[in-house]
Amino acid sequence: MTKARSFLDAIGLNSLSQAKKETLIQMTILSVACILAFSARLFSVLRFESVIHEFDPYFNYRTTKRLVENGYYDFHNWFDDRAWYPLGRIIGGTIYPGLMVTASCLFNFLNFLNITINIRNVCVFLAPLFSSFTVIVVYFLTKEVKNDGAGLVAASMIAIVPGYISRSVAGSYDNEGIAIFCMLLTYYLWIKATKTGSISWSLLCALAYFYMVSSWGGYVFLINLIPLHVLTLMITGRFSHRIYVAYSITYSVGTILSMQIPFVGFAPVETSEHMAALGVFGLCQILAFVNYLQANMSPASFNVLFRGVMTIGLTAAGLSFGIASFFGKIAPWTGRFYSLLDPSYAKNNIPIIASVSEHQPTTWASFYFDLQLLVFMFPVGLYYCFRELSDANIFVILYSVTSIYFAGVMVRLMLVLAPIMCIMSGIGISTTLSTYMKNIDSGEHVPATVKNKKKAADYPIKSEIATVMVTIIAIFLTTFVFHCTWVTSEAYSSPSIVLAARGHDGNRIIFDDFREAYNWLKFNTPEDAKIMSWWDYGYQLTAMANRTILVDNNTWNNTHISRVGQAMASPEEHSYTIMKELDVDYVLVIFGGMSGYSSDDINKFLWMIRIGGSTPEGAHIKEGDYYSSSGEYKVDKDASDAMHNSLMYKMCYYRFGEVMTEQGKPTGWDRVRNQEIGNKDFELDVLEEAFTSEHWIVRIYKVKDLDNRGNK
Amino acid sequence: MVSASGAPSMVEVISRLVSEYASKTPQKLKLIDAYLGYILFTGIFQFIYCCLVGTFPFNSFLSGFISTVASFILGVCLRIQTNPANVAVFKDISVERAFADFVFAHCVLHLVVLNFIG
Repeated sequence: MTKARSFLDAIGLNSLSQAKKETLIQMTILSVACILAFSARLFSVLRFESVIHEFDPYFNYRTTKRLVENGYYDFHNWFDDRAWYPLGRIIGGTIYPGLMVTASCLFNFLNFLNITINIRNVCVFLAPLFSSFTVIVVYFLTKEVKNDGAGLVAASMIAIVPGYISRSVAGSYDNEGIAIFCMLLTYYLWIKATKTGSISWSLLCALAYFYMVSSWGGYVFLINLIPLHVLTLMITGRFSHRIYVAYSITYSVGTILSMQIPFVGFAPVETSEHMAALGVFGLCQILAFVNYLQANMSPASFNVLFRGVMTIGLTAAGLSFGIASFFGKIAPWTGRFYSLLDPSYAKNNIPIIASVSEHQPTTWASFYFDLQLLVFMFPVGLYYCFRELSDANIFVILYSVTSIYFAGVMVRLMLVLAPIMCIMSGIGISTTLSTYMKNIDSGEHVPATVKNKKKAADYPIKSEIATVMVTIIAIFLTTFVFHCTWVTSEAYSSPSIVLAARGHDGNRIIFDDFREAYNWLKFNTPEDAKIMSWWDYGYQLTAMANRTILVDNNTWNNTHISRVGQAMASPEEHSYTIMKELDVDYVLVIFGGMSGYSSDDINKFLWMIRIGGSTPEGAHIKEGDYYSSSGEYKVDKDASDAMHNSLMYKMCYYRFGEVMTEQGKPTGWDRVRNQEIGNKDFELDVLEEAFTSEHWIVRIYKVKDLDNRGNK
Repeated sequence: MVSASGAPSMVEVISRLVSEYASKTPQKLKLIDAYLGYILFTGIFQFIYCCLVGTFPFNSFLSGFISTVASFILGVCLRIQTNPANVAVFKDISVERAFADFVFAHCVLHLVVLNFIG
């Protein structure tokens, strides 16, 4: 101990007061956590290059480029005729602009300071930057709920927790990257507002809510959680003037702010998802008025007044709500949110929502994979919150319970669960540690007052047990760090547009087929060429190849996607009529049989069949026709005729029958399905092969013109 | 409403409420209450007009109506925070701070309303 003292003396730290020492430690820990949050997300940039990942970020990148080049007015009014041919898409009114505006503001600010960073790099590194900000907000939020020790633990955990990293890694330029920051900022300001009851904090909360609405569709969660909190406070008798001020201002100013986003429009007053907030707002006014009357009148007279007004008021409210719902003034819950309440709804009714892999229910393995230690420390934190109930604690309890439910319904919402898990675990670990650290006998004699001695429970070998507990928690935290780093490195750092594998001799093989093919399209096709592909690749095609496409990841028009699905699944002649109707020039498919890439179009083919058959024009497409006679999904000799003759099969396996892919297997061996393809030697009648990438992952075909003389 | 013996009737309650309000409330709060009454009247008037004439353009109606609602709420909050009876609840908020917050909130509110009114 004395050696440590003399060291601290030497660097001049021992002369600081206790408060200053604490501040120094807090600032150091927070800065390290922020830097850690940024660096942990850089694996893919170090392994590959600074490139935008996945599919959705390419759309966001394209719109950000447009915003930076053409200004906000052009961006707001942009009608995109290069997507969803021939329908087009009103981009200005159908996106959440927060992400693009944030990136372009940052870009303009940096360029104003003459730090000339490319817009692509700003986009790639925006999510890690905002995760550093999230670390700071989580610290302040947990500090409000519990104390700053819990805040520091929670901040350190949110820096590396895989559930959050998965959607905010460098290159993942998506709404969630900034939405989590906005959400936690709104919650922090809300808790501050309920604690102080001041108008300015509530106003700041409304402004943060506006930022949240502009960044992500998940703002619906906020606008239901905050009223739920207020309702719980009312039921538990904690409703006070502060809550009234906080909620009324947040709701009224927040609502009119949220309607400024064109995509949200009038939804806050028309849809069922926002009605709870409106209801609680009305209830707030009534309750406040009732409290005011109660304070100024005798109980007897109050009762008379109360009963009279209650009967009139309730009947009026019930009637008006019933009439409004009956006449359809209040829209029912939309499909995407309704499927959160009734998980089987999407599977039975809307195949597009059901087919997205992010919308599947979460497995137990995912919970442990994304959260590890937090799964176990979360109930501990919950217990400590229940022990000292306060307004802020009730809020975090509600937040955690609701987000656990939603994370269980949809794997994508694990992201919403991760921060609250960190907060709860931070509370749990910090309280446990402070309980046991007090008992460790370090050999120093701290004067203990008589009062303290009486209160502390006395049991044998107190100090030893405390040391053991602290060591156990230290081991837990260490394994947590190792797990998080491993998960980030292995699972969440793949750019998806560039793939890597190990060859036979251990060297790294890079599969850059996607960008090769998109660039081929960009330089070798006419400017107004129309490309047909499955909707997954739409955003990447418009951003990199810069050509007009038929359907993309926005999936707003199910009929159009169904038409493309019919074209893919029908035999060549029928597909040709559909493709000519849609003015298609080139068709693009992803094929993994040669390289072993398993997310290819043949694996997605079943979904194309289902979606294609779900509209009236696709009545000839029945899922059962595409299975083999034994009812399995096969591509070899046993596959059905419909499968062999479909356009997708022919496009994927054209000339594949001559290729030897593996030693000891026949030619035409599909490495993903592990089958030898059935129909090897065929010619294409309506298409001609235009381009196949190096590892055959992307294959592009040109649609032949109509015959010159009209006969075959 | 006919009352049981001993309990006051509705008319008595309301008249007593009005007379107590007139005598016991401080002058400043009555001023705020008059302002609140005026805003309430504006809001009701807008709503009736919308019911008569129809909701097009809806954004103009919404921005005007929400402007009255939010101004009313801000007025009520100012009244709550400056009421001498509530000093225990709002320990850190002086009357001057309450009024400054009130003005700041109105600035932001009317900026948004101006943007939305179309």
